This record gives sequence, structure tokens and C-alpha cells, in this order.
Amino acid sequence: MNEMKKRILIVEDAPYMREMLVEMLEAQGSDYDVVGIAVNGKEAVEKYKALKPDIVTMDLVMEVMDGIQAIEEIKKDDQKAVILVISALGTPEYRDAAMRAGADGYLWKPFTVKNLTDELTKLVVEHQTK
Amino acid sequence: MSAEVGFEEILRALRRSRVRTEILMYLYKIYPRASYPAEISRNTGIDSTNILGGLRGMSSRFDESSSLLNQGIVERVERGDVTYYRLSERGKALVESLQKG
Repeated sequence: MNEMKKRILIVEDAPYMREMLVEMLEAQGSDYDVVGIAVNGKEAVEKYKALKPDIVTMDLVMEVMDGIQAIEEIKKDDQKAVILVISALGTPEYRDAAMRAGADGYLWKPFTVKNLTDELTKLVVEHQTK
Repeated sequence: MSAEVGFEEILRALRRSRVRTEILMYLYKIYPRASYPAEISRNTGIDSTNILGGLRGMSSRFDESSSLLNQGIVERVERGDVTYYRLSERGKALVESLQKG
């Protein structure tokens, strides 16, 4: 995809999904580098500020601070933040709420590694051309 | 009804249930291994009662006809006194059908 690795922050409270995302991204070799993991929205905001990743993958249902709030906080800090929501909440209302909060993409579970990399590639291309 | 239409209907039903979707995704991750409700609960962060509801249905909260077992996405494996659940071939094909989309 690109000679420059994209730095990813994974925000996810479910242990299996954190593991799965890391495995899927690491399997892509030189394209992505997981630079941080957050288990709730509050941690996500803190880690975003500290790490300034290229892309954030964001769960929505989390304790302490949910994904929608975290997206708003991150975008308040950095309007250029690129956020891909990955959620099992599959109705259009949730997608719309996430996009209104500032998400750049929305990936519904279940998904395959191809669905994930297609979404990430789309975001990378869109944000390179802006 | 073709398999593809069947999958679309199942996916539409899944979109309405976060619990069933998380269970499906977890069992896809560990496929072909089977798991039991407490382990699924620990890994997804969803309580065991809701996990059982998603797997088997629960009259008051989870429609039995949309349960993962009823839809043939998950199958039951009895080992001694413990009931395990694993993704069926149909369940695996369902997730992998998403490669095309």
C-alpha cells in the first residue's frame, strides 16, 4: 500500500477483539503498526493525545466513556484525526450517531480481514488526497 | 431460497443484536475450536445470561427463532457434562461471504 507504515490506536473493551485486530493488522506486514491499545473512551482520548496515531479504530459500547463521546473529545483536540468505528451495533441510527460525532468510517461486525483492510485503505487514500 | 438470500436475512437479524453479533465474531476468531458460555462471556465482556440468550434464545429477551443455534450458525458440542458451542460450517461461510462485499 505505502512505504510508510500507518500507526494505529486500537480502542476496544473486549479482549478477544483487541487480540483479533492486532493479529489482523500484524498479518498485513509492513502496512500497519499498532502503536497503542485503549480499553475505554477515556483512555482513548489520553492515548490519542500522547501518541498521535494516523488512524484510530473505535468501539462504541464501552464503560467509563463510550465511543461516541471519545470521538467527540478526540475531534475537539484534533479535527484531522482519522477514526474508524468498529462495532456490533448494526442499525443505521448508531452509524449516523457515530458519523455525526465525527467518525470517518464505520465497519460492522462480523467482518473479515479483507473488510478491515479495505476500510483502512479507503481512509488512508481519502485522507492523503485531502 | 438461495444460500445468499438466506445469509442476507441472517445478517439483517444480526444487525439488530449486538450480543449475537459479538458471539458470532468471537466463535469466528477461535474457529474451529468450541467454547462454553462463561469463556465467551469473559472474552466478549457480555454477561453469561445474555450469552445463553444469544446462543439459544430466551423467551423474555431473546427471540428463539433468531438464536444462533436456531439459525444454524452455531452448533452444540456435548463433552461430558459441559455444553460447548462452535461456529458451524454455515456460520463460517456466512462471515466469509462478507469478503465479497
